[in-house]
Amino acid sequence: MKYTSIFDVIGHIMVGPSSSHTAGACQIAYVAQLLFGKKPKSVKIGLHGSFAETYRGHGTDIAILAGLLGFKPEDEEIKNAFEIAQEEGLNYTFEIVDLGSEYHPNSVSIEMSDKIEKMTVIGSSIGGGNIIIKNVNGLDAGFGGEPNTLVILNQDKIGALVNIANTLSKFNLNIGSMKISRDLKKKIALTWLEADSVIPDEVISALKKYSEIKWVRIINV
Amino acid sequence: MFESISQLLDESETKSIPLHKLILKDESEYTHISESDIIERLKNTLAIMKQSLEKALTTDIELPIKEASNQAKKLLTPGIFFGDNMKDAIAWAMIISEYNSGMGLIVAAPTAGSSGVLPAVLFKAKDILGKSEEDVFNALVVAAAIGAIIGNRAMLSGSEGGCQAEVGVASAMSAAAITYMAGGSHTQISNAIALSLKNLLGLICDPVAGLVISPCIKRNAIGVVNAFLATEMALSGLTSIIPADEIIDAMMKVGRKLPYELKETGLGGIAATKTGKRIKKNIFSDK
Repeated sequence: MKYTSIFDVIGHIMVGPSSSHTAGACQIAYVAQLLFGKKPKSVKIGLHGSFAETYRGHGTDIAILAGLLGFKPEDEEIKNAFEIAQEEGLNYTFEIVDLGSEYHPNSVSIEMSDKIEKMTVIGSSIGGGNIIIKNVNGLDAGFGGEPNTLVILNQDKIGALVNIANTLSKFNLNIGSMKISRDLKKKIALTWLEADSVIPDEVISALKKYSEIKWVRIINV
Repeated sequence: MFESISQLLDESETKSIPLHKLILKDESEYTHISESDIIERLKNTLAIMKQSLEKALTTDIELPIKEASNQAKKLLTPGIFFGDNMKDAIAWAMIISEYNSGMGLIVAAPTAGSSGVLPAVLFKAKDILGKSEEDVFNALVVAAAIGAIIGNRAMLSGSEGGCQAEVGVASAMSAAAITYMAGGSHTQISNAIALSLKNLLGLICDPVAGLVISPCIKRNAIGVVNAFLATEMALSGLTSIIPADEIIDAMMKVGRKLPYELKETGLGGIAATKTGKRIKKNIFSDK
């Protein structure tokens, strides 16, 4: 069944005009800045497919910028995103890109950077405000906006998963699903999992004790 | 979750549980969220619907298609052929829809493009029938469940099934809700759904320049009139010779058969007219 709750039908409280081109676009950007883990100083936004065709009329550009500033799809400040970005000194550029036919027509590539780090996230808005993050720094991904998602970048080595699983069980968290994507050359892996209940912030520091773990983010949207 | 309109209505009948109570109980069992939490969240949804109408009434909205801006408020005048109630209702639906197009905060019901229909019908029916907030809440619960059944049997988006799957469904959800609010029988509710959905079967999704403005905003008004029309018929004892569930299945098949150009791509229907193309060119010319 596609709709498993009455809130799937009347639950989406959002700033218009389009659930896919506005709400979904904002949500991708919101998750992207959560993955970056801090406020970016500079962002390069690449609009693909239908996003490239109609971004102005649907406010896709404003919605993406708002998401990067930390606003959720239901925040009425979204429409002031250009002004807020200027006040906060966030540099941004928009460009039309072709990510290739394997990407959904409503996709965006977001490159975030500050003086120290850079991260590129590609996400797709797949309808009704629902999204999927498809790529993080060149590593394939496949998580959406489900609550209680944990995303980890770790060195691809023996024991990494055992340490993650053990840590979660110490916090009494049941893992509903878990996936890994690897870069064999760089020997790094992106691991994402969904827990059955709320993931407390303490999980982050507990996981960071392991030297193979580069960063940990809780995505709870 | 309920797989068909008949299953939902029959279960309410045989268990002698009012429709809204059965739906809330089922939602709680299916999602493992307590009924009180569900009620609280739904009350918030209803409050946002009310707020979007109130805010939209006092906001001037500038749309990317300039000639489509601030049309709806012209309807806040005495009725000519329509009674004042019906004229208000279509005005409210379009005002909320304009607000959505201008980046206002709305509740997608079932989509953002069709978000004006349900609140306008619910709030106007409350006034006409002199009902309480609780009655509106119960009607909203019924509307949501009907929407979920249609979504699962067919679809709820213009890109999958055309406007019949957006304004058409919003209209059927609204008709079911106010037939329930008016104290209609289960048979009358089923007929209201069937009659409303049938009237908008085959409605295409052809937004000019791909934007949720034209014809979307004004189609919210036909969704309202159609909901009241179907409810008036059902409560007067008229019946649909084709049952509601079969009409939903027909809608799904029609939606699948609609060509790509007529499913939210902005390539067919009024979007492909000379004027539609000119408007698109003007908006995106400095891209």
